[in-house]
Amino acid sequence: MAAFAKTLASLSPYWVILGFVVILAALFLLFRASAKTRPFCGQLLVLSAICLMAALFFILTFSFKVSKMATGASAATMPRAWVVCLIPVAILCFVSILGKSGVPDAPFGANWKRVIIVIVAIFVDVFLFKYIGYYVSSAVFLIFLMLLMGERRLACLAAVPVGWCVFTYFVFAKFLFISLPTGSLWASIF
Amino acid sequence: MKRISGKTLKKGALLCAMLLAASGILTACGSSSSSTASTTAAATTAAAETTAAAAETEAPAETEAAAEAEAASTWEPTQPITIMNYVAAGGGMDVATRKFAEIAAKYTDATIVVDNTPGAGGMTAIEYVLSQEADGYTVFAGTVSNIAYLVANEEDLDYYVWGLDWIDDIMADPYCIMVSSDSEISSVEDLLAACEGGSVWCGPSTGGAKHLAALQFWNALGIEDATWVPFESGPEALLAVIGGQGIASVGNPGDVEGRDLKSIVIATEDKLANYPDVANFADSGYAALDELNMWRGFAVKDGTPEEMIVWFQNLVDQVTADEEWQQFFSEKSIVVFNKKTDEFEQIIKDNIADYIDILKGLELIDAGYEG
Amino acid sequence: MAEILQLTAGGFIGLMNPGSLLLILIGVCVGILGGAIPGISPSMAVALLLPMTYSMTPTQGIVMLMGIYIGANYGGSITAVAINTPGTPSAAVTSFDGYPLAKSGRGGEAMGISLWSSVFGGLIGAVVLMFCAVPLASIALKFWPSEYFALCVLGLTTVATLGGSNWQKALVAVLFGLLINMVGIDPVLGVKRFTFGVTALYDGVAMVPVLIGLFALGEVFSNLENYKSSDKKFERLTYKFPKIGYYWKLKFSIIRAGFVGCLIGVFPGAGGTIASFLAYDVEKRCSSHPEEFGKGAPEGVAAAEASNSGSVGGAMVPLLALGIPGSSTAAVLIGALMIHNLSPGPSLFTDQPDLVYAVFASMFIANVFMAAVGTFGSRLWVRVSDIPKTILYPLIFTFSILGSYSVKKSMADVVACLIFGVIGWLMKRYQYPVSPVVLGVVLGRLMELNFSQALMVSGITSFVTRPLTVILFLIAAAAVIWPIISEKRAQKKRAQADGTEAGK
Repeated sequence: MAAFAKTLASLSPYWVILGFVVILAALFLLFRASAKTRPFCGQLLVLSAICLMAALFFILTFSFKVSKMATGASAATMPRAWVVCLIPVAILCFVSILGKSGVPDAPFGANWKRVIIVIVAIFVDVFLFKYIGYYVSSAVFLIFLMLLMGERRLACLAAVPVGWCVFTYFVFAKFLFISLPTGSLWASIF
Repeated sequence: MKRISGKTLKKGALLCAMLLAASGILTACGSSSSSTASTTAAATTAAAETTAAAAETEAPAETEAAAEAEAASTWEPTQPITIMNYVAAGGGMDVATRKFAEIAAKYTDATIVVDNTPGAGGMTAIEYVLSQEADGYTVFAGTVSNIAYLVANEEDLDYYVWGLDWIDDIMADPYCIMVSSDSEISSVEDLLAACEGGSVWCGPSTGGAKHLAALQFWNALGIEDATWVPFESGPEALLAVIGGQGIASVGNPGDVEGRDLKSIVIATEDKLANYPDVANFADSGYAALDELNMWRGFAVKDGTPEEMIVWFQNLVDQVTADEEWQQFFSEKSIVVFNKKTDEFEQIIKDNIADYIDILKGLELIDAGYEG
Repeated sequence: MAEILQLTAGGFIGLMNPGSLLLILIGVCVGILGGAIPGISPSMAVALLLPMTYSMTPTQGIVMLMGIYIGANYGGSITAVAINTPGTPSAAVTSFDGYPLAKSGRGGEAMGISLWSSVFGGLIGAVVLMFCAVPLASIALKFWPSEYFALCVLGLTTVATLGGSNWQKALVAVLFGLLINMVGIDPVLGVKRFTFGVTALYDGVAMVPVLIGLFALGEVFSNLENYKSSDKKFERLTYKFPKIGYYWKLKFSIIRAGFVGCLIGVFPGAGGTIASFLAYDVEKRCSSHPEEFGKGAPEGVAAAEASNSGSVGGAMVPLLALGIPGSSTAAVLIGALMIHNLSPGPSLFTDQPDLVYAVFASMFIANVFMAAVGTFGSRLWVRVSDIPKTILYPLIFTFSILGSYSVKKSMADVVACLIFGVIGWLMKRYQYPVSPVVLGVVLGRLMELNFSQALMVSGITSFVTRPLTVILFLIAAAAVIWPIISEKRAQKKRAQADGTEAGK
């Protein structure tokens, strides 16, 4: 167990995330396959994801450095305790989802694709901070989102990003001294 | 009233102007008429102009004074210098850096901003400093506790310690052993008797400087089966000692001020003027322990221009020589000085060797760990 | 008693000059603003303005900082109500009912309640601080790790009220929060857990990004999912602010919560967030219509705000009576005192009585100013809903990103915020309540630390031999068992009633 846990702990987080996604995808197919679980697929997947995380954490507790200073509880005590608590709770939850009082998943709203676009856009925006800086990136992001939401008034499309940048510059950078990333691209040009 | 600085009011006014402008834009877009939008846009530019004007009025005074203050170095800050603390606001080093910024304002017109990034025994703050440009605008405010923590956690010292240039060691705070005021313990001998057969000590985080100092004390004094109960912060640990949870705590002499605590022994070679009656370790025959103390100092990212370092060290010289600075710390029984790079880094190397020594001796870290 | 009043009156007179009053006013305004910005916690707001006090007298400086502290604790509720983005962790509970109220067109009510409960909660805290500082401090000294642990267990029982009929999912959610809280360097031994070598994870997942993600982003994502370009605007809302008589109905809620907040605030490390969870729980249990909680119950907003404002007075108790800060913001106040060469603690009463009584007086003045600023301000803030969604939603995103960045100036926190935004959306979609996750994140670390400390200080027996611990455990047990018993009884009665009817 300990050896397995140590290898798992030394893996890059990307591999762990990949493993997570693969297992969840398999579970998705499994839940879709049965008529009994199909209407509750989403709820079951959320539950499975939490249980999977708990299982991963439980295994990883065996990789912890055993500190000789430990006189109270060890570093693994509490995480293991919570995982153990989760087992009966997860079973109860599983039963309640599939039971009589279970409510089937709400169908996706008409605009769910837009949510995905927004999520991707935020990640891109945050990724770009490092290169083109907070201000430019945020302005572009704001305009993009407003267009996506259906805003067509030019005055607003221009005023909101400018106003936001001015606001953040004065309140955050000047008043609160929170320096926001300015971007390596500009630094290399100027 | 006279003592309220004009800056405070100006900043408040500026902030209000900004907010009004921002809310103006939003409400304008809310209403469908485009004419209101243009007026609020005008309001924004107006607000921006007033702030720019406000900034300008301050500027001439600044340049004048800067010309006076500057002596040896060619480097001049063009933007605020951030001093990054690894403790939360209100902690010991935080107070010292804020006092530093306050007094430094007498000697320089550079804006010095004190900031806090607590977490992971200082690693979070060091990571932040290392992630910034090596231009000298981000200064790390560190203490021996960072070194202790890094060693106790077997971290990569080449990265976390020597990725920085330790440029100024500005003070030494003696360690002391504190007990509750109503405790019957009043000397090292009493303490040794009371610790017979196991004892509970309350203090800040495991692996911090005070914990490792306690290990060094226990080791030298022959206290066995002592437990260090870590608390989230120093004051919470002191509360625990006042409340009787632990027999004693390790801290600095200033910690007892205003609290129901007393120091029973202070680790200094010469008795402190503020506490002439408190013993030192030499009185009980453990003179070697009196050499331990807690330093606090500044570091910049490795590769910072030499001119900036010289400029900053000059500033520290000026602050260290300042009467207000000296008085402020002498009341807290802290010795102030300015030990520069070479001397400072030697002290750190000695700390590291000592810590590795004691932790390996107690088998608390891996025998193969070299730093 | 009379002496305290007399001395405090002296404190009032000392502050009755335009300079000091203006400073308190500035403090309150800056505090409200700072509190309303997610990512600027009350302690950061106080620390940011600390440098300005250098040139003031200690009294002027401290009263201004008190103004910020008090203002910031209220400020967090503004964004919590208006856009479901708690500006401070303790305002998370305010958003449980405040935001649903605002969404159903009762934004004025929610804003009004949160303002007036903050004011009166703060006043209760101030009165308790004035008269009960010494006895409360002695309770703080008797509160050992085993008591803290028991308090956390009691805190966990509030999950029952958070979940409602979905209690199984609420339990899963709270355990998820507790497990999330285990990431990072453990608080006792410094062992790295679940970090995969990522330094950003050493300090665990920060509270504020989690809050912003789960609440603000999660809400906007789920609104976006059902967004139609035609409903660019919210329905026309009523901004009507209630009359005084309306608040009068909430008096007991405010008083109860104010005292709970003040009491919990006394214990260093517990603080306003736990206080607001507990007060919310108490209020729901006392209520005659508990099913409305979470859907827009005025008492819920009142309880949350009165308790987190009451905790300000509580946190000042150990500061003045023992020299120990009761909260992270109080720690900054201690720093401010030290910079002015004053040592906090009981000696302040003898060395600097003027300062102490000025602090008392300033708490009253600051709360009055807050009422004034809030009354005018909330008429403006409530109009946030006037901003078309096409602009508001993009702004909430940039605001969230900025807020989570500001906490530690770390991009990792921004990424965490986004991840929790997606988690919040998915949980909401699949009817998992998100508030228990927050509860888990609030309690996890405190619980673990105190469990371990209790073992170290007096061994496992301390959980059963210390009277205060046992009492707290019994309350916690009662909190779980009582609803079950009363439900069973109600069922039996119903069955009997049915039986007699059938018999006829």
